[in-house]
Amino acid sequence: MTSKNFSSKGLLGDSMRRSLWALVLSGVGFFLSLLLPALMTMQNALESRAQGLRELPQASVAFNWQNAMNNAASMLGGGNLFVKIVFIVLAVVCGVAMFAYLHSRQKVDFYHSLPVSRTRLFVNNFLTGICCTFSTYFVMLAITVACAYAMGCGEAVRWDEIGGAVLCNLIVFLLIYALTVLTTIVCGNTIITLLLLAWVFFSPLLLRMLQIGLFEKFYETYASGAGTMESAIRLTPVVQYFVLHGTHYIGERVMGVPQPGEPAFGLLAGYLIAALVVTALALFLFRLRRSERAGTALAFEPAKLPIKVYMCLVIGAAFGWLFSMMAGDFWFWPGLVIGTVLFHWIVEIIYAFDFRAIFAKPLHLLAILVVLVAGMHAMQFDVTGYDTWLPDREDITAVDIDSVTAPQLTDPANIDAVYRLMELGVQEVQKGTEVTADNEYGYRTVHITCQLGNHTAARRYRSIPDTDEVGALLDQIEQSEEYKRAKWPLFRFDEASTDPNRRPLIDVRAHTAGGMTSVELSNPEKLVQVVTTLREESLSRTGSSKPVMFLSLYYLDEEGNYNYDGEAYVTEADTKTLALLEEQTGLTPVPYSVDEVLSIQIEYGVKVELDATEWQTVQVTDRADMQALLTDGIDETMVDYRSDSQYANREDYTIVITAQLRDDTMVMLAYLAEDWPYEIVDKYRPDGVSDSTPENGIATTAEAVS
Amino acid sequence: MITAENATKRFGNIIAVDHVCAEVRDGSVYGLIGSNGAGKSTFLRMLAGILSPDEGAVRIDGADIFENIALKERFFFISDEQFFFPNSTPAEMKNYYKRFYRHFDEDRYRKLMAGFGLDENRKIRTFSKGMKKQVSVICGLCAGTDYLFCDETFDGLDPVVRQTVKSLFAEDVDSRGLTPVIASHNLRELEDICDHVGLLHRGGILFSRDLDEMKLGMFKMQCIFTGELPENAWEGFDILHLDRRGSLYTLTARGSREELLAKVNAMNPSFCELLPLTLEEIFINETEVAGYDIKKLLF
Repeated sequence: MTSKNFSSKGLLGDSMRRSLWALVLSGVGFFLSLLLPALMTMQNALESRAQGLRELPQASVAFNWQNAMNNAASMLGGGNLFVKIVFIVLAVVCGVAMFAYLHSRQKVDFYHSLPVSRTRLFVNNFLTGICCTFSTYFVMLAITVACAYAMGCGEAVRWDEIGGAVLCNLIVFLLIYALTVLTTIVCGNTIITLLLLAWVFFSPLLLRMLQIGLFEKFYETYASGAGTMESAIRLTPVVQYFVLHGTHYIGERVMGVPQPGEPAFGLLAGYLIAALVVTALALFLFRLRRSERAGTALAFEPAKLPIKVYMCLVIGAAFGWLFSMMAGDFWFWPGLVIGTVLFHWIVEIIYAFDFRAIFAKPLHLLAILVVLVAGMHAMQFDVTGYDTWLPDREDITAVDIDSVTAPQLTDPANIDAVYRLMELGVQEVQKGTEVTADNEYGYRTVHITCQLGNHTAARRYRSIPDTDEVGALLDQIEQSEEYKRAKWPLFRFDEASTDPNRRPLIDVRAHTAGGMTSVELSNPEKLVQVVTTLREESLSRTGSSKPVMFLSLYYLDEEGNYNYDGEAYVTEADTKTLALLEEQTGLTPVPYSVDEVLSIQIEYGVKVELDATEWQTVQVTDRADMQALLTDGIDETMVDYRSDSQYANREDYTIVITAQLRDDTMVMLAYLAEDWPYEIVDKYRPDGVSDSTPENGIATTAEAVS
Repeated sequence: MITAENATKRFGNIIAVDHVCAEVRDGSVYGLIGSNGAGKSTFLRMLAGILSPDEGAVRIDGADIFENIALKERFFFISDEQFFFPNSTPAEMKNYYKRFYRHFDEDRYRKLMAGFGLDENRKIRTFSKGMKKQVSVICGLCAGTDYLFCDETFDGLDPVVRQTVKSLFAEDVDSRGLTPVIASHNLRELEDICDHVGLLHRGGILFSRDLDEMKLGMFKMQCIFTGELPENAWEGFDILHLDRRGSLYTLTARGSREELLAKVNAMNPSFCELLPLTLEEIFINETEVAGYDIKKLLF
């Protein structure tokens, strides 16, 4: 309306008065989700403190009180899940309700004949939903804060947390609300709006899961990264919302209360921009929308085909994948056809609001099926060369061989080694050798990640023949200083931490003359000395060395909880560290002796079918053999699996050597490659379980026992 | 003045309004009549700026109506299915309209509400269909606009209220130059209030004329001839309908009273009478010519 007496503020107030139901709904929602739980938590805290003062030591009372206040602060801040649920519900309900008039001809005639511009009408309705939600939220928040102070729980009021939660709630609400409004405008019917809204909210997640499923099915080298689902969740704000704690991602739980983790300002800024873009698009479409589309399925005729095609493609592929998961590969194609046809029918029925439209647009259906089948075939036969893809060497800025996170190795020597592994993997794919249960022991599967110049990360699983070259390349990478520094917990461990909530501690374990013994090392100076020495020796160590001590790395928090941070090993070659640890812990590692064991057994595994192995167990009876096995053996719990190439079972894991100790515990024994007890293993090998001579470093499978 | 120039509106494959040309002079009462599905409501919704024409234009004083807020302030639309806010009262609706219509006459509103015996603080949902119509008419009249677009407004009103509403329309036309545009099936209701009529049929306009001119340009005649008339006896007449029962001829023809009488008298009838047509008869004859024959619908 152009008249000067028109007042947007007055109209907004009027709209809010007419939307009293929304105010009541949000009021009840925030009362139940914010005020009431916070009051309950604070009341419980007060009662517990009063009771604790009579029954518990003061330190415990203070600790419990602090914990309760943390809980209450979380209720007021970003850790309140109920508030998030209420915001999502209100965003959907208000977003639909404020624009649902577009779905009724009667209401459209009324509003669109009034002397008010579409833009002002949009702004008024849009703001009404926001004001109805946030006015009651702020009132309830203010009442909760006032109650906290009045009850003497002011410690629970942490303004930075509250500010972060308000900002997060506002931005996520805006995005969900804007998406709801946009969907309501695009549709001509409220039920269709809700269906399409569910699709808008969850289809990014579905699409990502489907992509992973199909890639895993069709591409033998596909490897998903740590961020694979995270990126999909980011596109699904209704899910991502629950992974946020105010302006941070949700962090660890302390005494059951979630704490803020990494900052999420980038995500929230992205959401805010997305909310503004979606709002602008909604306004544009609102102005463009024809009044006569009230009551139809979709208000924009040109949107019908793209939406149908998108849905049919996704659902068709999803049905195919689902069928193949349930009943085998054969059912992929019938599933795909059934899903596509079924969904095409459903969409056409919905578009026409008429069951007789079930067979409408057969050419569309045919075209969709052709596209889908062609697309799936393209994946099946790897038309795009996914499995044989090799990046340009010059384009690679970092690599990794066992990580799902961002690659950390940037040393050109390591990049070259990984690149060579990739080349070997590609050659193997081109040869078309299929890795099966029958030949899998002859292959090494390496999860290779490359960081490319354009900041994208490419991941592939490469099955590479376990040749000397491959072994050497992997050794080169795993024994490199860069790899150790990047991967080994020993180098990540903050031994000098002075944070009272993060006090370093090492649990040292070794087999000594008195049996398996462990000692805790927490003296800061000694701890720094041990870690520093072990780091130096680990970096200078070359070749294989038998691990003899096992270090568990921890941080202690203020409550005395052990937070595990990884493990480290001390080998026979680390003489300085061993001497230091002997001095500081009194532990001197010694091998197991025959007197400690009841028996030693060797299990011989023989493949009788493609994926079936039969085991024959033989007792080692000769004390000399037993001692030899124990002297060279490494307790498998002490094996560093990150560099397992050094401790390979030279007989394809078809031999298992186990010692039963007198204290009824079992120890599985591993050996350095050069220490593998061929003679003893052959000596006790049962008849028919022969032929275990290594060929080119790879043991051949024994003949089947019939 | 309202003008429609080749105004066309399509709903998918259906042409609801097909190249309609019409003029509504300010200060006149324009009746929009037509068969079912003729496009009356669609045309009225285009006039009210709810629908935008797919082709052509609908204008007030030369300016397009759609999304023209200044023009929209000059008219009030009473839909055939009026909308009231849930649980609202007439007073609340009045207050809402007041925000948009700066000349809203609140005193007159109260007077009319009292005159019609309507409680302005009673929930509208408890009103009968006719009472709801009355509330809409009262708000429309009190909005102080130049034009009032009414879609089947008399439908559901009792005879007394109908006459009262007509009087109110006439009063506003006389006093402040209001231009009501009334779409209706009930031609008798329009006959005594409209001074201009537009006949819509199957989306197209058959004619748009002054009612008086129309009534004076078309007559029903009953003539008796003693002898047998030659086959070409009625040549020279613009006949819309002709029926014969023995020697009695009943016909509807276009032309002035004098012209028709002169032509018939020249044929030496033993009896001849000219009767004025009702709007309903004009509608039936005109639409019959356009292929909308009631007999075809029944038999």
